[in-house]
Amino acid sequence: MYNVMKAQIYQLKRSKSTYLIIFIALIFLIMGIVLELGSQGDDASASTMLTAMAESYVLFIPMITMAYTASICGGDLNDKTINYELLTGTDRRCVFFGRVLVSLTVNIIVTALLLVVPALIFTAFLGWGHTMSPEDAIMRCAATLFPLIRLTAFYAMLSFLIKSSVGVYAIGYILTFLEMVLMVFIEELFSTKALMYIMSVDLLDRILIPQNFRYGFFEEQDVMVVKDVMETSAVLHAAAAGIIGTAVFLFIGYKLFSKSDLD
Amino acid sequence: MANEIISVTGLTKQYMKKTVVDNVSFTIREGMICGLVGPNGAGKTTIMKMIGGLVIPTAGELSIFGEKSEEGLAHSRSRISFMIEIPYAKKEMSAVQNLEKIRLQKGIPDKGRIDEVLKLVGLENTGNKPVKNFSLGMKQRLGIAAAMMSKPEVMVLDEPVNGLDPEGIVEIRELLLKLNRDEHVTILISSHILSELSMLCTDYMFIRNGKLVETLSDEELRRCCHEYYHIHTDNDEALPAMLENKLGIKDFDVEKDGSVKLYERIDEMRLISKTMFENGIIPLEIHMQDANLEDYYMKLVGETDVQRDESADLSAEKK
Repeated sequence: MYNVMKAQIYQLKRSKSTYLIIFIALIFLIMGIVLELGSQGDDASASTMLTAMAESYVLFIPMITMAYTASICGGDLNDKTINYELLTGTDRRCVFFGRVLVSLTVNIIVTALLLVVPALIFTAFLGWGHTMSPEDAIMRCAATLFPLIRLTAFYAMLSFLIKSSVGVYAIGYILTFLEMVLMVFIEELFSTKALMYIMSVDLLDRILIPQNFRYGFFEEQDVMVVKDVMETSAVLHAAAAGIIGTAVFLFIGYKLFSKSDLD
Repeated sequence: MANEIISVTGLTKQYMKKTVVDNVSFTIREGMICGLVGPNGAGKTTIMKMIGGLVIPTAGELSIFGEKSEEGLAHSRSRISFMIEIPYAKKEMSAVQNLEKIRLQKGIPDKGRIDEVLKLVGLENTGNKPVKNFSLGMKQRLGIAAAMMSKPEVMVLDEPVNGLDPEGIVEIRELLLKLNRDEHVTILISSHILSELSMLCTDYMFIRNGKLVETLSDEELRRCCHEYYHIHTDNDEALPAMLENKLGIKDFDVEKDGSVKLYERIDEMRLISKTMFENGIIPLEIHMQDANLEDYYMKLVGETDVQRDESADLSAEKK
């Protein structure tokens, strides 16, 4: 499996799509930052910016995860270069899980960069502020790992099922938007934690987006402050939803791949 | 007898209700250069893909180096190099980068092997040129280079000379013969260029409609490629009926132009000519020819079709 991963990383470093995805993501991120800076005005701080941009991240992260996972898992199925690995005697398990692990590593690195680098830049130029405590922000960023693993497993399963990165992009976009619409409707009707076990986007939404705010008075100013600091039970639910989803998707994905013909 | 390298028994592959490979059994022994011969769609590639683990057989047993379990087969495949269908390469990467990826994936420690194989197949000067700009012949050469990266004991090559120029075909043929002779590499090769295979193979397997119709050694094949008479008359349409009805000859082929290839009773040409004259058929051209591999193969396929039709008729009658 280690050799599969080494070869994948070598290929990834030389693929244009690797850089194209991050470039497009950065353009959208910078546009979001500029818009938020404009609306926040003089009240902008790192914590207000990150809180305000949480909704964008809920859209961003699944898209980036989808793009990289489809590119790593589906790209080689597209041009049949995956066949070569099987023909050289590499076990199907190593071929599958090697790619999933590389996808996960890339997704974690890119998501961490997209979350942490802007936070550091905002803090350096605007100061942290009082909207969210640094501990809460760190907790939320760390907990993002659970939906990230789950999303990676889901898109890996989809890639090995559809065997085409373009197909995964198309279905992935449709599913993400469907999930978002359904999420809004269902949450309007029932306020239930069960949804995060079914929908990865809802899981991400609950982790990154604070639901309740209050006003606080700091440095002679009224400041919006996040009221619902992330609790241990919420993190545990997120972990359970992430791990259960990941296990199910990887099981289905591997079963499909282990029994499929690669023509 | 040499060791068994690949052995398949009753190998079958069905897609939906269509049988692509039908109960195929054969053994490849150490040192063989075995040609898998058949028209497009005969099932050659599917057989190779089943050996390579890309396609899962519907039925049958596969053994490679004596290993039959899934894990054992995967391990055994690491001793074989495959080139099946289009050579698998990343189009945006160069030949060197593609081979470096393969080196990493196979865990080959020697980086110098890349230059060695590129030189062997004549791609040493391609530099940073991406594979998408390669000609079909260059891609084939890259596929062969990739197959040679790990100094294999066995090579399974699907139409490896497709797209190569005549010079390239000779080079690859000589390279394969050298690998077989000097490094004892066993080779399973498929091709529809039959004359090309006849200059290379020690054994042949003929496949048609997913069925193995004949297995022959090179010596047996040459014996089978017997002589025949090529007959062209002023009344070609009447000739087949005359041969059957007046002389009881059944072993002949009617060519597209109406002329006849006669395989049976060829030492009785005087009698055959006399009978033709007696029946008002004037021979315009009669000459003896040696059948080559293509002729024999076409004859074999023709017979198979007739046999299949006959057996289908018989089973229909029984019902």
